[in-house]
Amino acid sequence: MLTKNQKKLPPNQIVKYSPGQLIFKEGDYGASVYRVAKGKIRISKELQWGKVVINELGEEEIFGEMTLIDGGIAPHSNSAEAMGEVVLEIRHTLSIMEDFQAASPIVRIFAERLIRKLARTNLIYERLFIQQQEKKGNGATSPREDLRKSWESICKYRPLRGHTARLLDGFVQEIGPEDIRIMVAEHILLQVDHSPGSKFEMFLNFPDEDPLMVHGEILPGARGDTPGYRAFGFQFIHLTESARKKIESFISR
Amino acid sequence: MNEFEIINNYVKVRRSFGSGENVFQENEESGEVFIILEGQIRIKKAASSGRVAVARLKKGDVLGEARLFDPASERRSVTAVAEGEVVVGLLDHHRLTTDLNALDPRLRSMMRILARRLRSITAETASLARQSEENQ
Repeated sequence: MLTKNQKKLPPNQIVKYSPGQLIFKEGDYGASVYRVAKGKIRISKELQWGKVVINELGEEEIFGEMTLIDGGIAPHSNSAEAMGEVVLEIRHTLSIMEDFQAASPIVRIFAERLIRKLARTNLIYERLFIQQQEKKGNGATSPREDLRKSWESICKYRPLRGHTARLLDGFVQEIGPEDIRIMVAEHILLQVDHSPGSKFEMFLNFPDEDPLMVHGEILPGARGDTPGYRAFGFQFIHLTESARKKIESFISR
Repeated sequence: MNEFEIINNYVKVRRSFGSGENVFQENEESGEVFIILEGQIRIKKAASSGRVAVARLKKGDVLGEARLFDPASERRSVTAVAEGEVVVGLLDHHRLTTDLNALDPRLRSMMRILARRLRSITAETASLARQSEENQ
């Protein structure tokens, strides 16, 4: 590989991990970017029916790069653990961001876009992969289907980036513990990006309660059952414990 | 200057495409980087049987920036099709390369690895998407 022939630059921190050792856990907050210097690591996700291994990364691979975009404000969406003896080179996100400051603006823009694109693609890959595993029988009882509730209401929402954006109207069709299905008028789609992975701030109007603010990310597989509208699944992200409880209690009502 | 203006500043040549025309094709050899100046482009990726649409890009979006970070891959990994009239701006490759070479070598190496992974995960996602369509 090209990188191997390059002169080794002073690393920030070299850390050894023993077989099976956890590097970070789903839900932990991170502020580091990792490079596998030796060995192999495994990326996994905990689901209701067990753990699913999403990816394995070998030498020279990098993970934790999303912290460069969200600055460590969002928890890890997956866990990482060592498979066998592993050596990682760990750099603090801020030190990398500092180095980026010296770069020309166009390089910074392209780097940021590439990392975002990678994150979106990873997410879509993950969804499809999990769906496939569930179909194979790993999740004989799909955890969500019996826990859905059809719910006609209006949901105000807007893109997560650019909080100044005006609120959009979505027509809720149904809600589950992990996601909500909303119909969106086509004219809105022309103005605001609704591609899979786009993130939104959403206000759920449960009866007799103050609007509940949650974050949602568009799932792949939009449907167009009603002329002039498209229906999207928004997966809830970074849901707080109290928000999760409110949603679950509404569904079981 | 906003992002669009910064990128637009690198445009060397403008090219127009009619609806349905290919802006470029998968496996085509090219290291060019484009920005969409007008219209929309649909990105498709070949899967085991047929093509899967993976994204729709609009004004301001850039095509081929991954290749900039990973020049070893000279072939297009996707096909780009114009949806309606499209104008793209071809970016000055010499200027981009000069800017990129000024980037800290550790970051350059990191971006190359990430660009490579984007390429492989896009291919795997397209093949999974195809499989799940076939199963339905």
